[in-house]
Parts: sequence; structure tokens; C-alpha cells
Amino acid sequence: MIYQNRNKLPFIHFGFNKQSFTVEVDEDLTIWQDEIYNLDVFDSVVLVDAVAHTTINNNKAVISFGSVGTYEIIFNIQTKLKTKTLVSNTITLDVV
Amino acid sequence: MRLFINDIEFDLPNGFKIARTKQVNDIGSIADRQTNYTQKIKLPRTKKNETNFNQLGFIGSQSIIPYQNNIVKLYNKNGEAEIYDGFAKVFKSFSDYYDIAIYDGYISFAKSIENLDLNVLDLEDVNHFKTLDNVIDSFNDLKIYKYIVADYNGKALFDTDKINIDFLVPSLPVSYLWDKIFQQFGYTYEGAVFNTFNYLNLWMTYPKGVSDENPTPESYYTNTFNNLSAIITGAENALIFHNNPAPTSGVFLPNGIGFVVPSDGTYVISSDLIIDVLVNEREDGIQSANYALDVLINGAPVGTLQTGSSGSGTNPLFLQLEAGDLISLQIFSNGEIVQVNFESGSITYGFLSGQNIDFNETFLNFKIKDFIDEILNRFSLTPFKDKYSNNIVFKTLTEMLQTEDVDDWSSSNDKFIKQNEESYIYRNYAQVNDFKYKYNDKEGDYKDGLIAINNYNLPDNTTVFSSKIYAPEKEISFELPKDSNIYKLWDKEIKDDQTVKYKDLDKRFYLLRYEDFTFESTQTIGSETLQTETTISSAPFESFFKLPFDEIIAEYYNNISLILNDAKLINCEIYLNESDINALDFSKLKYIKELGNYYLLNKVNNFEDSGAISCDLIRVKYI
Repeated sequence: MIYQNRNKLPFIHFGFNKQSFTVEVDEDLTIWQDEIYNLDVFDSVVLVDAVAHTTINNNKAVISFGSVGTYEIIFNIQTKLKTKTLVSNTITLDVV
Repeated sequence: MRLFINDIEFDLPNGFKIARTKQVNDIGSIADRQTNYTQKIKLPRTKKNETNFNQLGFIGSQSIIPYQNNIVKLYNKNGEAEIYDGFAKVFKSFSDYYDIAIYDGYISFAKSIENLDLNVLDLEDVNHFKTLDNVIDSFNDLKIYKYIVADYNGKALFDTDKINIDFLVPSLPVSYLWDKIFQQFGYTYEGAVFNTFNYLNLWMTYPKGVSDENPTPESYYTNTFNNLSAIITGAENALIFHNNPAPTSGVFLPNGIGFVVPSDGTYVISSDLIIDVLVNEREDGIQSANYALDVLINGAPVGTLQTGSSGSGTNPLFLQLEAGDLISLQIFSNGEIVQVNFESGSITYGFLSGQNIDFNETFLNFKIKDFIDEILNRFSLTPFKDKYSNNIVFKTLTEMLQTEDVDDWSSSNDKFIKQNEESYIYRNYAQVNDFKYKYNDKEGDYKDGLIAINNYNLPDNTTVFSSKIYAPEKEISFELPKDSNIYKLWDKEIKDDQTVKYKDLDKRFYLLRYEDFTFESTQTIGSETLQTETTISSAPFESFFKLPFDEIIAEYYNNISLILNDAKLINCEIYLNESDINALDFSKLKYIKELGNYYLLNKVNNFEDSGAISCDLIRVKYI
């Protein structure tokens, strides 16, 4: 149980578990991460592949992209001591 | 040890010890949030204590100590505040002592909201009139409340396919109500769960159907033809003067022309005047002429009440106005108006006030404690109140299991002494443990959930949480442009002539989410009652996503289910001193090398002084 909870992978979506979405250039979009992480242990959220992003916390990030394209987005949740990185599922964003 | 009640120090006997029990959340009873408490204390009736208690126990005493909130501070022999912001209950007075108990922890917060309904919250910023503008503004996140489009079992559409706001109700974000509660009672809170989608997109409906199919405007002002006259200026228009107007609400300007609207809302202006308008036709002389009776708002024409030559074609006007707007009337004709004769009839200004949304009035029937418990149970949260402040940290069991900072309670750290017993059944549980919604159909259970425990020796079934929230109906509605759950706030009654009568229901609290939905083509939305409408391209539609209890249990109760299905509750003797008790952290796992396991601390029993203390621990497997 302890090991499972300490190694639980993040799960991200665009709301209502949606794994793909389409937005316009520079439009703000919220990405949600559902798993609960102890803030004393985990504190880093890294957004992979994002051209521009504003990280708010372990469970929510607002992103926007300045150019048209298809982007794959992943959350990395790290322990404070950077000893472990938990990698989320990949979600796809089309920017038009 | 020193005891202060309401900042006054009390006498304690020499060598006085208080048995203290520590607990934050009993895994043996999911629905209960526990508190730290002491066993009953016999407080000696010294002169000082009697004076401090305002002569409580004496004949004729006016002391209110047993009935009020008594703030307690308790310092241990090291001078450390063991209880900083607790409270004392005084149970009985005896000839030589007072019988009291001291509580602290989360109960301080629970006491502050005890027996209070949500209507005590300051909800002025969300009370409003249901107008089309407010509904649309709520769609666009310009309001705190949101009119989430759903089938509330009313007349969802009018004129075949127009969304009818008369049968929509607003919802409030749960996060807004939660924040209001903590602000109003002087507390703050923290917790990772409050950043999640499941929490932030959770809304509570207005609990009552609010509509009136054929509302009668409340008359603010009426006047008859013989008190009206026109101000002739030789132009094609002539403003109407009201002689001695006496509105019941709102006021007329001193000029007798303009009526100042008293509040926001829908106003109905109607007229059945017969008017003869004479104009100078120059070549043909002065003659009766066709005219229009126009309504002006703040000086600008917004509609015509009647046209013709003798009052034919009268139409009531429905106007969305704001407080302070000015209503005036004018006659307009295609010629120089030289005389206006009001021959019969009257003019009326009315206010459609039927759809006032007052959350304070309708939240009267929902206890704040029930609202808090609803959130704690839905997210499986344990509250940890800070000893020195009014901050409460809410944690899930997952967070507690993730903590790498573990207390080593092994004998090598002079903690573990011996294990007294090991038990395999948690009290208050059964083989099937239900989480239940309320239902309009009393037999309903289709949105319930359960934790199953594979233990043949437990009773068959028990309910561990009974929600105060109603589940939507079992059927899905296909009436709106998107499928919808039915959140019943009206009952439909089919009359003999096959027309449908909608009867308001109340005390129906629902939780739901919203998801923006884009229509294939623009959609008309409006009020059949207020006769207003507009078009929209998208709207927030209801969703019951992750709200059935079986889905909540799958997401938030997996750890508890694992613990309950492999139950090992041990009672040990652990060496604890005053400092240990003072720094006790229930959110940290305990490791006992002698037993080869990690444990959640469930309870510390009757700590009086340093020594072997009975502790209840729950085994947690590492893998």
C-alpha cells in the first residue's frame, strides 16, 4: 500500500477525462491532474513540450501555445529531493 | 500542569493528572470526525474556582458557565501548551468538586458551526433576480452563480425549441460555500484536494423550483385619463404630464413626467387610454390625427404602447430596467401637435417580481455541519487542526501513506514496549458498507456505492454514510439540445384538458458539474414569462461525472478498502512522555521494527503521565 501510493502515476486530462482537445493559438487552456500528492513530499510539476505554460499547482496548469501544431503534453511529478519522477499519461492538443 | 479557562487560571490539586485521549479520525467509523478529549476532570471547589465559575453550584447562582463556549488552555509541566484553543464542558456541580471535560482539535471548528444552517452565511453577492441577462452573464463566468442547463423536470422548452430559463435554477460553486464558511467563522484551510477538478467543478443547486407561468405584475403606479395631460410645444411630439401621481413604489420627478425605477427587474407598462390628438395640418386646418404612444427610457424611445387614431392596437411592453432608470411617455404624430384630449382609460406601470433568487431564504434547511461532512466524506478527508491557530489541514489517506517522514516507534528508540492484542474486525462495519444518496423515489439506490469487506464474520449490511444530497432521477431526458440527467425541482401534473401544471418542489439539494457544450447552430434561449429571448452558440450543460457513489469510492476509498479487507488492529504499549504527546502527529506513519510493519495511529488512550501508554494502531502493508 505504501509503495503503491508513493509511486502512483499522475493522470492528466482536459476536463472530464478528455485526452485530446483543440484550441486556437494563444488561447488559455486548463489541464487537470487528478491524483492527490502530499505537498510535503512532491512539489514539482513539469510540463513537457509546452511552448508557454503557467504552472499553478500539482493538480492544475494553464497553458497556451503561440503557434499552430499538434502538441503532446506530459506532467512530471517529482519528489522534493528529485530522487523520483512520476510520469503521467500523454494527452494531445491541436492548436489551430 | 496549569489550566486556564476563559484566560483565568484554575486551582488544580497537587499531583493532579488528566487522562487525555488523542484521536483525529477513527478508521473504525468513516462518517465520524473525532477530536482530542480528556476524560472527565474533577475540578476542586476552591474559593478561587467557585469565584472563577461565578459561584456556580450555589443557590441563586446566575452563572452561565455550563451553557457557554469556555475557551481552554492547558500547559504541561514543561510549560508547553498541550491544549491551546480547546473548550470545556461543565457537566455537574458536587459539594466538593466540578465535573468537567476538555476537548480540542477539530471539534473547536465543529462547535462553531453547530446547529447553524447555510442561510447564516453572507450570500448577498449571489442573491439576484432571474433575468435573461443574469442567466447569460452566468454562462460567461461573469457571476459567481451559474445557471447550469439541465432538465429540472419543468417546462424545459417553450415555442417548441427555445430553452426556457423560467425552469432553470442557479447553482453555487461548492468551493464558494466552503470559503464562505471558513471566512465567516474565522478559520483558514489547506489541502491538495482543493485544487482538483473534482472539487473545483462541483456545484450545488438552488434547492427549490422558482417559476410562475403567468405572473401578475405588481402594480407600482396607475393613473386615469383625467389626471393626464400633454405638454404642447408645437412640435411633432408631446411629453405626458402626470397630475398628482402616487406610485406605491418608485418616485416621479418633480416635473411630473419621469418615473424613477426603484430596482432592477422586468417592468410591464400597459395602457387602455382613448386619446384624441389634434395636429395642425396647415392647409386643412386642425384635425384629429394618427399618433403613437411611445415609451422612453432615459429619454430614448424603446417601444410603442398604442397606435392609431383612437387608442387601437394597445400592447403591454415588457422592459428589463435597472434601478434609477427613468420611464416617460410621449405622444408622437406626423404633424404639429396642438392639443391632446385624454378621453378615457388608464395607464399602469407594473413590476414582474416573481423570480427572486434568495439563497439565504432557501438554504435555511441545510446544516453547515452536513455540508462540511458531505465534502469530507466525498473526498475521504481527515481534518488536522493546528494547535495554535485556526488553520485546518485536510488530508487524504493517500497523502498520509506518501509521507516518507515516519516516526520510528521501535524499542531501539525507547518507544515500543509490548503488544497487548491484535484484532481482525473493525467495529461499525459490515460485509457491505453503503454510501447512500437521497432519492425522490424512496426505493431508489441506483447512484449509491459500497465498500465490500470479505469477512464472513461481519454483519451483512450497514450504511456508513447517508448523504443529505438528492440523486438525479434514474431516467435521462432528451428534451434539451443535449441529453440531460433530471434534477427534479418541479412535479408535472397533467390536467383534464391535457395541459401540464408545474408544481414547485423545495428542499431538494443536488450536486452536479457543468461542461460547456457548443450547439450545432445557434440556439434561442429566453423567458416565456418575461417575454425576452436571445441566441447563444454554447451553454454550460449538467454532468453527473464522478458523482455516483460507486465512482467516488473507486477514486477516494481504495486505500481504506484495502485496509478493511486485511484488517489488523493492534493495541500496544508505547512509551510516551509529555513532549511526545505535545508533538504527536497523527498524519505520520509509525514504524515498529519488532512487529515488522508500518502503522497508522488510530488512538492514544488515557495519557496521564510519562510511561507505557495504550495505543491503537492499524497495520498498513508496505507493498
